[in-house]
Amino acid sequence: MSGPIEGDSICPLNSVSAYDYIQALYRLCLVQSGSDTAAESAAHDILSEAHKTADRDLANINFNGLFRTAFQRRDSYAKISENKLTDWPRLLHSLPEPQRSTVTLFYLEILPLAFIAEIVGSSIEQLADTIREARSALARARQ
Amino acid sequence: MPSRLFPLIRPVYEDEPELELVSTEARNNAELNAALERQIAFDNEVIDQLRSLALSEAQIEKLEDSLAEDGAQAAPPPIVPPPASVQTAAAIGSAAAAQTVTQPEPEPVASPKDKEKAEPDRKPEEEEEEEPRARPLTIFFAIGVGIIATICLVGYLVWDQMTSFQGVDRITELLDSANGLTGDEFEAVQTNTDSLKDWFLLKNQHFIVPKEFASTRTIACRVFQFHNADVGQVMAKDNRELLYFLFDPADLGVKLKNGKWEVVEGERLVGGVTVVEGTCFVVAFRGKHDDMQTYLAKKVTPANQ
Repeated sequence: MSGPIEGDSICPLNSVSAYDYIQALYRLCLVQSGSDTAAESAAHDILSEAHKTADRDLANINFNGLFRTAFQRRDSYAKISENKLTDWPRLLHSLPEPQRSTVTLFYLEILPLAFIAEIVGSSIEQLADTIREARSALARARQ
Repeated sequence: MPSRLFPLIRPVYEDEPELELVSTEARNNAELNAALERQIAFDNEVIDQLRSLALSEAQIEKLEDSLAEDGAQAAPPPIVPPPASVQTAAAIGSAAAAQTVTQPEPEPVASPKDKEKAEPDRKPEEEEEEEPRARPLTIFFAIGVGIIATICLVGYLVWDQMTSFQGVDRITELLDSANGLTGDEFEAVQTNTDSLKDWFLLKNQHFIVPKEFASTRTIACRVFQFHNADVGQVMAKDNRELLYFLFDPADLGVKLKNGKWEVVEGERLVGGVTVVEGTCFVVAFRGKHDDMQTYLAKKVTPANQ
């Protein structure tokens, strides 16, 4: 690979390595599922599918698209009674969907806002409302 | 009152087109700026902990192996962490293997100046503008090739013009037409070339022989038709056997500066061509281009060239 990876014709927020994308994908899946094994498995599945779609060439993977897939599968995780997350990640996980995935995408700081809004199917203003509400919910849960 | 987009302001997002104005307004308002700093501080806490969640080295290796198994024929390049990443502990693979699209992971709170440095990589519009970068190079290359080709073409035309003249093909044909002569075609006229004027007048021709060749001894002459033009042909001899051709240059489309000599090489004969007082005069003998040049250099005085 020789340069920033682009996907969906939208550039990443910064020039980001494949390693960064994969770690961010794992974080999203972890907040969504509350389970590190489920997150690892989900990240693997999503990456593997994208890898096949990209003719098994890591350089051709649509990395932004990974997060779209993860967002679409946000409700596919088995409910677990207790998760191993602590502190802020645990509070993020406690938020209802799609607020949970939306604010996590925002906090990952890896995608442009316009692309996050597109993934979650809202306008930029609605995205701002969601983030404001999620932030308030996090602050209340923290107290 | 803060803008509706105020909750989206983060240092890393501040330069995004949707937030530029909102961010500037917030930064210029003391109250909003204080609220923004509190918001950023709050988010930083969350983000710091979120970033601490990372796949371990073993997990990344497992992921790599899995992808390699999926594509056994085309194993993926190792996924290596960025050099300056805060998750160095989770790094895998060789640091020397430059198989990443790396740039250091963005700082959670970047200063505006830092963001300006990263700005070229951040704006989609600018990324889109990068695509045509090859086009000017291609255009310049094409123009360069075009200019060079034009110069070469013009140079060739100039060179061709300088080393040739109009009607050279006819002269070559004329020289080659003499290859099959037996001598029977000629009428014996043993005199000198200067006296041939009278003989040509009898044949109703008004050919002029250059004065340098006036004293050459002639052997035989004839007038024949060549491409509907009357051509006088003279067998002569000085220190070698010569063949003269005389005709009206306009009849055979020959254009040559008066008094200028050109050398034309035929199949067997080589000819020196000039135009004198409306007559095209060709002196020919068996030989090559250099032989004729040497011959003319001796025969024709520089003043006549």
